[in-house]
Amino acid sequence: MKDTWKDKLYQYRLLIIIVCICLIGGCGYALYNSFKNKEDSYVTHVSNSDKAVVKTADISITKDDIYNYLLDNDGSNMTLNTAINYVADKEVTDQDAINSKVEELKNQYLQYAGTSDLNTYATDAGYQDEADFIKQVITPNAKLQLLQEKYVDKNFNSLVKEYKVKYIKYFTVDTESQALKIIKDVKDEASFTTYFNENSGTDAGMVTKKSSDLDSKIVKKLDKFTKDGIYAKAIKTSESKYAVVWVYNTDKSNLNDEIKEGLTSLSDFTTKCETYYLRKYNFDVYEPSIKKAIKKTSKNYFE
Amino acid sequence: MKLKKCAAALLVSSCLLTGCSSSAKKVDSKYVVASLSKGNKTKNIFADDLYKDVLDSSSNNSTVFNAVLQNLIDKKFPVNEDMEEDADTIISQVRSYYKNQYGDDYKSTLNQQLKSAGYTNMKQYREKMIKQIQYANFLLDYIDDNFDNVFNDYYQQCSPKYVSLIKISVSDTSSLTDDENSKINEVKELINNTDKSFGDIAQDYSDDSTTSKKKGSVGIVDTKDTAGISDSYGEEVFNAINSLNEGQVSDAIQGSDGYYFVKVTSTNQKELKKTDIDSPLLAYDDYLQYVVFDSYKVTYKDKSIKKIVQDVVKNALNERKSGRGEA
Repeated sequence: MKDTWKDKLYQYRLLIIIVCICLIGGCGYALYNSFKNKEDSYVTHVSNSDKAVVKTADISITKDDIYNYLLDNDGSNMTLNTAINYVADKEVTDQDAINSKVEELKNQYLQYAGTSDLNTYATDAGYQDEADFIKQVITPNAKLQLLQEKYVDKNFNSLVKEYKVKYIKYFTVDTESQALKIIKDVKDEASFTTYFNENSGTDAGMVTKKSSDLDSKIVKKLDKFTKDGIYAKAIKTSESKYAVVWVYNTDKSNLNDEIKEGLTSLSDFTTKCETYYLRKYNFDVYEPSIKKAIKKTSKNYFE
Repeated sequence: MKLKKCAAALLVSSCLLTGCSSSAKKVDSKYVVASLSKGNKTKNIFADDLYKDVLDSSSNNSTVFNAVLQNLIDKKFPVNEDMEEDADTIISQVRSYYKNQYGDDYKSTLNQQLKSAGYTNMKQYREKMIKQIQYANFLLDYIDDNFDNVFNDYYQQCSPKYVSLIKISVSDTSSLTDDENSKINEVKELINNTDKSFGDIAQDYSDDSTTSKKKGSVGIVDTKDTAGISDSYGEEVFNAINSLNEGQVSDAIQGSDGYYFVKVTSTNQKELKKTDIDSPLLAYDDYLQYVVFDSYKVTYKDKSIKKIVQDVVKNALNERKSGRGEA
């Protein structure tokens, strides 16, 4: 397409401005780049960046053109994944545990796909074969899961405290007086169970401060559930009913595996674990736009 | 004076964007995107590593193809004033629509919609629109050069028809008022037992404001529903259109918010070909981008990229064939 005289005039004025700015600011190459096309706004480049990889009669696509597209579209995830996979490689070295987790994940994929043929599942998903899929997807995922489990093992007590891990059963009644009478009447688990069954109670099992299916008013009281047995007060729920709560498993010493599984499935847990390890490994990013995008995911990834 | 102010503003904004060149880090002449370090061990993630990882992973083949395609489009059809104006027109139409729907407080609803669609703000949406317009130009350039072939393929694959429509709005489709019933019967009577044309009846009786002024014409409708009839009028209306031949008129069709009469006014290939048919031609074939890409004489200077791109295009064109029962 030919430039009009207006386009040329605009380009000429812009050129003058750019030259002036370079003289004033001395920002050099990066500044010059920022005035070119959007894809040139990155400060990092691949080796032989100007080398053409694809050509047509009138255009040439360079290695850097491809690299810039990749950064534009998924740069922050690519960087973050490469970093966390490196950490997982360093931190998770027990090959037996990795093999066992790989098998577990393989079975999960097969169950999800409703097939026993992982090879077809893999090729349908764009991988060369089953081995390629295991190498590129399952093994890295297995290591990441093991990394999260390692994180829980190392920080078990503080995480249980932070997430307010409790085990409770409860039921609700219409009035506070009903609830208080029941609380007074309950002497042991058997008598609680009678009321629990009569009032169609819920055994919530393990709950945390992140439990979205537990009434928020009960969640607010989690700190108070410190002893096994009946909680001494009736809790007014957000639906203006009164909850009677039975606390159990306050001794969590034999519940590590179950709690580990519960914690690692929490929605914010991956970010929490990644933050811990990325900070441990002094993660830093030198491509400003990518760093900005990663900070949007979690500003805590960086020291 | 103006130039100085402008230059200063640009300097500040550009430094914010790039962080100046001080952020760029190199080790062994290679750019470092990120690093990790523990004790005296440092792991640098180079730009080359990220690039190679994508090319090495077969699951990223479509990403690599898209990278080549987008660069080809950007270079062959760079953003120009017309595209910017078109994008601004779209934005202004979106704003007007929301203002009409939600009144003066439309901005918060519009922002919510943008966010739920994955856009940070209207600026980002505008950028996406410009990309879409560039993409449309890429396809249209091919369509212009191969109009007869593309049109004939469209005609064969999608059986396009000119369609007109009459809508009788009703408040509750399950329980019609006397007035609503009378109006439906009157339209039926006019269609079946008078010489009044369908277009004239649509003009006088249809409650569909977008088509009544055009004598009921909804333009071209095809089996792929590139005109979005199902979304606009309901699936029953779309199915009825598909079942009609040239000249036929439907009985009253119960839609979601009213009753409809539809007429196929023409299926004539020459007549359809004469009109502005760009919109359906752009949308009828899910694989058109691969057909268009394949029409370029491309020379590859990188073996990996050559293999990836050729595989993606070949697979897509094979899928297109088998989808049409040609494989």
